[in-house]
Amino acid sequence: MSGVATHLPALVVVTPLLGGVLAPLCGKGPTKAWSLATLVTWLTFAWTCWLAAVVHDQGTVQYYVGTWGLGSTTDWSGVVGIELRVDRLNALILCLVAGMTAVITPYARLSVAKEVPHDRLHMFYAVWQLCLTGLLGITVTGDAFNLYVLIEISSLTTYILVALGKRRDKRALTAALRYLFMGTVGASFLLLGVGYLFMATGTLNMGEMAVKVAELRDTPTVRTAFAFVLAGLSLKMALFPVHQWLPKAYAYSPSAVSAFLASTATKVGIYGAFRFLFTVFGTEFSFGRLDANALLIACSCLAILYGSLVAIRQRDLKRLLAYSSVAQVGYMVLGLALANREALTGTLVHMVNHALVKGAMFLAVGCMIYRLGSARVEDLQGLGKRMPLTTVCLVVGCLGLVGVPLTGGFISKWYLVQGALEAGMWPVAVVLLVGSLLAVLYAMRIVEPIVFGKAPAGEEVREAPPSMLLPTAVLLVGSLVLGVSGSLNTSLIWTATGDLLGVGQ
Amino acid sequence: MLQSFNYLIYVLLMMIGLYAAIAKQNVIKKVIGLSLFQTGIFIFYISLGVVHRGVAPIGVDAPTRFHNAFAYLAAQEGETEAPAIERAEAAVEAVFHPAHGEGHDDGHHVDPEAPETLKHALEAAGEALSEEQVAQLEELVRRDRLIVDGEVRPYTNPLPHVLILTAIVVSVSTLAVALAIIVWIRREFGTLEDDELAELELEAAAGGGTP
Repeated sequence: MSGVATHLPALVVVTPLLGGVLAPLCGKGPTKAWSLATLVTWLTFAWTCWLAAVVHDQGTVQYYVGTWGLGSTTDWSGVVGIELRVDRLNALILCLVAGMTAVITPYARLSVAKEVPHDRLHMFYAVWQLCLTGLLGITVTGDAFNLYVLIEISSLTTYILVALGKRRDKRALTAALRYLFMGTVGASFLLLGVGYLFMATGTLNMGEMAVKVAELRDTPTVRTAFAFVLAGLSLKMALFPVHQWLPKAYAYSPSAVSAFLASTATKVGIYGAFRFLFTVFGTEFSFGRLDANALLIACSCLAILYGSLVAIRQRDLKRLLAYSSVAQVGYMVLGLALANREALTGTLVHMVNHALVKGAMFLAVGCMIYRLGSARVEDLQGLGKRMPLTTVCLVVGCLGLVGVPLTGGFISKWYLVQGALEAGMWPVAVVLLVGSLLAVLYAMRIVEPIVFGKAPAGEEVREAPPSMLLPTAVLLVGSLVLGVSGSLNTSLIWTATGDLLGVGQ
Repeated sequence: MLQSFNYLIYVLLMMIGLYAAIAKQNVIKKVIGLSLFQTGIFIFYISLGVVHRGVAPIGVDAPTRFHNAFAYLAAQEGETEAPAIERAEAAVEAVFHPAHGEGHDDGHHVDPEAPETLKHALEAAGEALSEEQVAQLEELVRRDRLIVDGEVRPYTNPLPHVLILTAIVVSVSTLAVALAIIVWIRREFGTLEDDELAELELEAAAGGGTP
């Protein structure tokens, strides 16, 4: 590697950070700050793709920030600085997060201009890019304390993004505040957990921590650290029963923000769980010694059932999709907790698929809000005839969510069921199937009034503008490609899960 | 008991804070509880860095460390060893500051912190001192030891303190964002009581939300 390629791991974080700092300088107005944000997110996406290609060719990329005192960029034994470390797993997550943001940002211009107070638009895009900085930083860093700081950066910016939905619905403010309370407690638990890990191992580098934790085995300090870290991350990824912040935060935030958060924030939380449970503590400790998988499997099964059941009862599409997200987080954590290769592959495919599908659905609902100002079921009667393209997007999204063959959702659920059977847990496989049936019910709840409902007479509603439809369609096409060419994509993910479990090809 | 005093305080503070954040109705009080909760964690981190009899980790350069170490040795060993120690100190001095003629001609500059310089200095001192004394010297000039008032003291671990500075900044930012959102809530809802807010939210839901 030479030139720019050497610095890719840093560029991935620094580019949106600079964008976030520059955006407020663009001045008020809907276009300038948005143009900058679009440019920056696409540039960042390009960096992540390049980085993924490098990782694919050469294996894990390490990058040292602040290697003062001891060591150099190549030899770093005993280095005080922060390590950025990109392997196959986080290269994938980086591409996912940056790619989703790059697609959603062009959509945001019209939607956000309508839903966010005008004098704050430039600030909105500043915070938007800072949030991306935090999420990418969490994914790229190899330092536990750094991870905490970046989680806080992404969380703080998320609270602001959610609160900016107040123009459409003032409940965005209370949703943001409640999220802030829970999010801060969660992040503080993570901080405590990192403190206990530091106490036990004397290092903050995750790689070194992993070595020392393996030597220490079972001490009360490490156990305490494990409990705090797991609690903190569960809050961040909205695992049942600490999911309460999620439905309101997603329902009342601006549509572009809902799509952005649903497709990136929870995924990064789950990535954090991967890193800590598999890399730092190791499968043998997390699942063998402490039986964390029993707890996680129970929570995720409840999440699947509870999320789906509550989703069926919702009258607001955004809330419905948000509760569906609670259920989908359940699927992902379930695969993680089963901890065999099939299930982990299922989790990663599901992360990608859910990001694409749920992102697209929130965008489609955003199109409806853009034209109608509401996403309540009774207001959407017969919308299919008046906004046919948006409706098609929503319906395809529903199919992906249910997991119909030829969509990515089918492949991920297939792997998850296989993983459950491999682990010898057939009741879990039953829960997966029941969850899919419940998904059919709430999907019907979305589709039925829109496609078969009777349109109220009078007011004419036009189709959503192309700049909003196109990103929605792009995400869905991505999901379909994932579903149709499943073998190609899953082979990449298969090697990533192999790395995670420490087994060969 | 007394050793874990800090940790008791941290748990106590955290629990009081968490209780307030959950149980209080007024959102400002909740925010205060949250701050208290985080302050507890700060105390935990600060306690992590404490080393018994440790001193503030303000580093001195290698020549000064050697100078202090020789002064310490001289005080310990008594009159008979004084000439040897003086000779050793002069030899070490020569390693750090090579004679000007040679030093300037080839632009050679000694990095006092480099490991090989340390090795050379100890070798130079070894010509005048006994093996035990050199071992003691090596112990004394280590980076994590500091001689204060004729006494060898370890450094406290600075890392947790630096970490917690960052966490304090994060906590202040959280407080700022929370208060900013609360100002908006007060404007939109006209109340700061959590139960009243919940009622108003329900009303907004029944009214179909504000368009």
